[in-house]
Amino acid sequence: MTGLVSAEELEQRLFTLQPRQFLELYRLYEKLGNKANVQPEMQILRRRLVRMRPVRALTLSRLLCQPFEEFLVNEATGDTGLIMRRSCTAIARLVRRKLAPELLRRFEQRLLHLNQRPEDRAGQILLGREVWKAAAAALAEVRCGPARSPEDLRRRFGLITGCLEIGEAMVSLSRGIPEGRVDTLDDSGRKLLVKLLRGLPHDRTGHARYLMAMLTRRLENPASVIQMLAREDRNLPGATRQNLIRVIRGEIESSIGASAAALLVGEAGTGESVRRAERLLDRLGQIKASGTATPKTDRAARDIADTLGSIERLISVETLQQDRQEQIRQLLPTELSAGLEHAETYRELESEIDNVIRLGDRIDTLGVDNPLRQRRDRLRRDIDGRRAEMMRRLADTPADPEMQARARAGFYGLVRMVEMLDGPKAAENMRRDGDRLLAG
Amino acid sequence: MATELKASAAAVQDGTGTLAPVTAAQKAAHARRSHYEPSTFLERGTVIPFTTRALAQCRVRLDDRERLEVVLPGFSGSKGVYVTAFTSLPEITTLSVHDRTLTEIVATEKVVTPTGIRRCWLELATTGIGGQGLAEQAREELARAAEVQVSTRIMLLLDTVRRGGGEIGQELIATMASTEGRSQVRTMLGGAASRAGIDAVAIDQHIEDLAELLGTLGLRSLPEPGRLRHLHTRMQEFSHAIDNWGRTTVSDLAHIGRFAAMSADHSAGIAGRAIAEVDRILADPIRLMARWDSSQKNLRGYLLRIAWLLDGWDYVLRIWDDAVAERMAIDVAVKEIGRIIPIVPAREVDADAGRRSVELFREYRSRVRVFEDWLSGELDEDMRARPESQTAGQGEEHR
Repeated sequence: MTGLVSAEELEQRLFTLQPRQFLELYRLYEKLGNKANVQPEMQILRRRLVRMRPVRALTLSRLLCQPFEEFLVNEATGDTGLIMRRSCTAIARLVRRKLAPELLRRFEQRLLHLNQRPEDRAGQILLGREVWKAAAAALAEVRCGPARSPEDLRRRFGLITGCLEIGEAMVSLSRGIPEGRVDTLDDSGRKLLVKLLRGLPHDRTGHARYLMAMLTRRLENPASVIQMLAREDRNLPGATRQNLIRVIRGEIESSIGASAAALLVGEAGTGESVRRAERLLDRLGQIKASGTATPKTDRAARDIADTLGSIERLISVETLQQDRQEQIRQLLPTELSAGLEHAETYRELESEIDNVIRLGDRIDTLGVDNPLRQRRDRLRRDIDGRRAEMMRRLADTPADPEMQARARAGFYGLVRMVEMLDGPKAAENMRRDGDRLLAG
Repeated sequence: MATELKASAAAVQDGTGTLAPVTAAQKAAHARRSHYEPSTFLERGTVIPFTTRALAQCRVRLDDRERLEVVLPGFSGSKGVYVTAFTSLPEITTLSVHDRTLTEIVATEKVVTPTGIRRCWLELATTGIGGQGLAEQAREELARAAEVQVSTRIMLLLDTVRRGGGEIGQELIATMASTEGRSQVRTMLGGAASRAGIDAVAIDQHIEDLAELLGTLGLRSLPEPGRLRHLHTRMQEFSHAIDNWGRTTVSDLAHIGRFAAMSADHSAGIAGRAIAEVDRILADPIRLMARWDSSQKNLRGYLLRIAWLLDGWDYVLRIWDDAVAERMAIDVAVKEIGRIIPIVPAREVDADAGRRSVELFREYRSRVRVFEDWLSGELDEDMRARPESQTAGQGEEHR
């Protein structure tokens, strides 16, 4: 970073570039490699890259990480079966140190060649096959001493090595599932999984657990894989299916158990906890619907409900920036900025109502005690009280347009909350009554 | 009364009352007539930002008798569009209070342009009736437009004074909003006024009008672009992103991704040319002031055109952002994008771009499903009849 331009200014300039110019600049940075002196700029570029998703040049590090890509996380989530994304550089460095220089040079040359033909997926897999094999062999030699490496680190190291050992299968399965949030495997995904399971080498059949772990992590409804495997009696031997079902059930239980345990407000903040809880409850709902619930998943459901019940206020919005609110107040006429008067209180109330309804409905489907039901009743009483008070005041609102705008904004905000709790019809009746009172 | 514009007939009845087979040419001609393929912006309608899920991205327009009607794309999973009177919306589905109030405002003001609808929506949303999130978004958008307006005015004044041979110092920029500062600026506009052949007060007033006009677009040189300029850049990014997704994904919906990329590219390209025209007019403010009436009219025309061209894209980009951030399943997002993708009407652009629009409309309706003709996207009666006749035949054999 130069001393002349601040990071904020640089970000602003980079974000106003035309997409084509931005991509050209990104390619230039990419050619500079993953060097420490360009990292601050790359961090800024990445924020826009997430939106643009350009085809990125293949480097040895990227190719190396492909088999365990699905296990990479940006921040710790409490789940033990995951690897921090920032440790990829260290893993790549370690592999580079262990590989023979001649082999490394050959890999780099082939990568250079492949980058000129980005559509050559077969070529990438062929090179990947050799890289993953060599890397797995190199990492297998690394000893994790008991003094320096706790159990968790050894397990993660084992996961990386295991994924590399069946690298081709891991990458094929990962590519066989569409990007983003996916509920379950479609027909082609199912066929691919069976093919990959059948194709595992005899001495690596135990590695199927990495494929199962990937599916648990990748699919919104991993329990569907259990049902799918149960139906594969023609393609997979009974014992294998039973083993795989046991493995995936174990993966689901440990993943949900770890995530439920990590659902502590103090660590992640209420917003993040609510988001995680919602996802977990969805997952548990699917497990229950598929008939694959176990005592452990039931316990996790109770734990999550208890944790949510213990959170004093389920508000998942950040505090408004006061200086920006002041600027807006000055920039806009009163009719448009009148709502700011109640903004802070109303958005917190709205967020709480929204979370209590969404999470409460999900807990109800799991058939466990729902501590949010009482809270919903309490919120309704609160809103009813505010509503009665507001209706009394509306009738006395002076005809002054500014006062009217203020009263309307305060009233309409409550209408919205009534809509959330009691539905659009009740809210519409309330609005009409209020408008009539305002019109005098 | 609702009218289904979906293609329906696949066979025509001849004089004898029997069904005659239909040729491919007849099918194609029928498809052209019966499919929703608006040729002008007014016919396409303007997106109305309803919060009710079933009405997302429906468009409002005027019918032949100048009454408001609403166009619902892919309503209840159908392939065509559903057209109904604007006032009958509450009878079709339960509207949220926000949507009901917006319907009343739009019906009272009878607005059908993107700028008019946006104004109505922003004013309503700031009251909080659609939730505090929407209110915040609306207030932020209005505040940004006001900021862009102020910056645009300052930049235009600086440029005009400079072209008239003067220079506005930092101290004056700071006091420009005051009465004294304004009169000082007007004095400095003298050079430009004499070059344009009008008086300095008129120039100052014109600059103020221009700044107000440009609140949604802003100047190219501003560090913070206006809403439409920003949306235009985001559309180009989206085109890159969804095209890459379409090329690399294993999803069955890859073709919708590529189609969305082509449509975004097409709209952004045409909007880009209109934006370039605005920038060209603003590049020489003295010339603009000298021909104020015609230049202002041109600018208004281009700005409305840009608003029409970008209408509906902010929702598409929001869905895509949700999918990228994994708040929504990507397949669901892409399907929804495919349902509501805005295509530029053919008669609103030159011949080449018009041909491209026609191709895109064809692509839009030829997303073939079971029993549909792969060329026209029509329900293929022959194909539908085939398995039925086979089943009937099997039934007879069994007997």
